[in-house]
Amino acid sequence: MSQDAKAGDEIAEAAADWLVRLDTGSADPVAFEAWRSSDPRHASVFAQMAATWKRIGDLRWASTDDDAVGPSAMEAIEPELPRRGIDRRAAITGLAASIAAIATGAGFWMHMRRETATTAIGERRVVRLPGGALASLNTATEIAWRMGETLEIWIESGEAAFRLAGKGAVGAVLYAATMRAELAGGSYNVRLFEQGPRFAVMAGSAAVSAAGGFTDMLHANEVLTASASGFLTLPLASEELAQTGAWQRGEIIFDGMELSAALDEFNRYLAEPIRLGDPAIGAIRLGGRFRTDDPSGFLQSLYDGFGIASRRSDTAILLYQK
Amino acid sequence: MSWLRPIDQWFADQVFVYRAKHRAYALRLTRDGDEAEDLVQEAYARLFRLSNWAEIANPNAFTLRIIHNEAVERFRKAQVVQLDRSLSLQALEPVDEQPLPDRVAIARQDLNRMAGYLERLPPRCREAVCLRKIDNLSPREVAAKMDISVSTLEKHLSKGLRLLAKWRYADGSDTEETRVTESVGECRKMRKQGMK
Repeated sequence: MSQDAKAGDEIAEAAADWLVRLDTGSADPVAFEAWRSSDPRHASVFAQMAATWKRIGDLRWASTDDDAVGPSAMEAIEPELPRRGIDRRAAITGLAASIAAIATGAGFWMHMRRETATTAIGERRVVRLPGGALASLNTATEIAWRMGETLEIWIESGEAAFRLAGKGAVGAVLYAATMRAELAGGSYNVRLFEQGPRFAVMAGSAAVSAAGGFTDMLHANEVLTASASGFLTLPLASEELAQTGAWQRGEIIFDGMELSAALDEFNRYLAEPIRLGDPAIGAIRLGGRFRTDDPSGFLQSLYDGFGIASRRSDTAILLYQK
Repeated sequence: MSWLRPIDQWFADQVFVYRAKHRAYALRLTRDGDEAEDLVQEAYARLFRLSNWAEIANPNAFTLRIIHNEAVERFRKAQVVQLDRSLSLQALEPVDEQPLPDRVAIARQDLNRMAGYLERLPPRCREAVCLRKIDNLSPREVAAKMDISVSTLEKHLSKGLRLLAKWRYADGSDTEETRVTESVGECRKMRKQGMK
């Protein structure tokens, strides 16, 4: 073993010790920060350990079958049975029984099948769920579902719209972060933000519960929002209603929002993001309807309307005032 | 987990998921396991020196680029210059425009492997890790259940974590190769023909 490799092992050992002792609460956070900031290698190896540590926990709800997700055609409606593009998943539950089985090496896993569907950045697709529910996935989205006595749906990331009709879909339960919503037949949109889910009822009704003891009954044209101070039900603005329809057609609507906020929205769809080369132009307010799969129309409008030009940098498209 | 900063999360999601590609690429540049390993670790450490990491549009391509530059730098500094390696360094330019590998699919494979690794842990380690991470019991509860002190539990967890991290890192390096420029094939042909 080379000197470098030996040093690497020592850092790995220290990183694992720090992580475990931070987890159990016996580490001194100040001493830890001192260790981490003393060498970028410490920071890097610690982050690698933390990624592994987190991944172990993911097994709590996740899969054992190996079935890669293939690319799927945009807007293709896929059948509910697992196939290319949808993957079969078997989840292990965090029950003592399965843990005991793992611990004894008996290899006994409780299988509870969960299906998932994902979209890449800029991709959209429609997936048929069991019981006659339709899920539309917006860009960079992952959902999972399971059909037991009722249909359960999880939003893992991104944004999705659901149309529920037919007996099989009645009483479906939708989970998004800490929110749980029991859905009647209807039409719903849910998007996961960093601060929590935003859940809109376009048609139908939903019995919602969420972290902090929040419960409410949402009806058509109401939206549940999450903020740092908790959950709140509001009337659904017509602009937001229009937006939920627009993204399903591959469009984005700006209704007088600031350019900086508009870019945040547009960049959800772009592998190569658009950024402000000049912060001063971020406050410009703009309106309009654009295709999310092609930012050139948007860039042209910025140029025509505001004299804002664009150029490519290595990592992004930069906007600047001409 | 308040000790995780945004850069740690970013690193895990955007960089570390592609570690197999980084290792495979470093190995092709250096043709030496230990050196490849060190190259990757040096590249990762460099990411943690950045203040503007959030602005990197394609962290995977960026990491490959650092690995390449670091390899070139080392090659230049080397006491004994291997000529054929200079050729491979030129040929194995990372491709910046390559489509991103499917992060979700990689993560899923990763998870399946992780389930396998758990079974390979020594029994007490495995019990500690499973109770803490999968059963989600508090450290104190785990220690009580296993009838050990918290500091002994820490030793089991730390050892388990280190083994899992090691296996996880070592595996998958042979799964997929990094896409490289067209000239590589040419380069191989030349080497075969003894045209160094």
